[in-house]
Amino acid sequence: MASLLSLPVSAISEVQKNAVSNNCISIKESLKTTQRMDARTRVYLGGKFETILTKFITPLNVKLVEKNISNPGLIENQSSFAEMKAMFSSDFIRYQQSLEELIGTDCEAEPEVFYNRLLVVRERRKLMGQDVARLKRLTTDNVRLVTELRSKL
Amino acid sequence: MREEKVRKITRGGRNLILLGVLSVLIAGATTGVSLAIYHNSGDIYLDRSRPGFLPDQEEIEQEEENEPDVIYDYATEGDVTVEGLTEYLEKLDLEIKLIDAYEKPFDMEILSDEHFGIPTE
Repeated sequence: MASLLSLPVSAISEVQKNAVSNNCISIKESLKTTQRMDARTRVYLGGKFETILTKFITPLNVKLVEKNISNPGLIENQSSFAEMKAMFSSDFIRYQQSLEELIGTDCEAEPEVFYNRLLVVRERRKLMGQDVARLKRLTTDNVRLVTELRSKL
Repeated sequence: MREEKVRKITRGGRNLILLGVLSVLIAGATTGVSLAIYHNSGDIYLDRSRPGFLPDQEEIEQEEENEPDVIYDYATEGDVTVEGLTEYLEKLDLEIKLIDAYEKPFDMEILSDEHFGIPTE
């Protein structure tokens, strides 16, 4: 995360600066729409991942512990999932903070500053996509581990 | 005697006004601090009840359509059985399908130079 804050200042060409200044209003509108859509995505996916953790993974592990059935794979899966879900929320906050800062930047007067902030927002959005992919992978791992457990019963 | 009574009443009125003003100031200050914490902690970004971020009617209907009639919760009582784990996997598969059906979460194209009409060099 620290590397994101120290992104190199990228010089943009005059043509690009003009494009940012000229399209400023439409860019801002597009960013505001993205901000609203992202809030919806976070609530939807965050809710789904919360359901998987609290209604599936955790109660199964509680039962396994109570029945003295050792399954380190499932315990590790739960702890990774919980950690990743927390990271999904904290990365989303950082992403939204940078997006809000970008929306608040005067792209007509400061196209270069705006563009450099856009680069930061892109990096943080990329992290969000990676978080979702990791959570999906951990869910798939859970399916595999539970299928293996079932075959041993 | 009468003058003293009138003075007491006047002072009482002034104190009441002071109390009112003080209450408003304290309420304003605590609200300001609460809002600052709400914003600085980042909770504001996780809250969809703020103006401009409330779900629209179409979204509510879509979510209600996708919601299962009975919310599944893996039972912590009883034994770990093949049937129980089969149901677990079936219900988890439904959740996975709903997640996969969500189109392009955090798609990068929406922030691209092309999308904003910025020439790439």
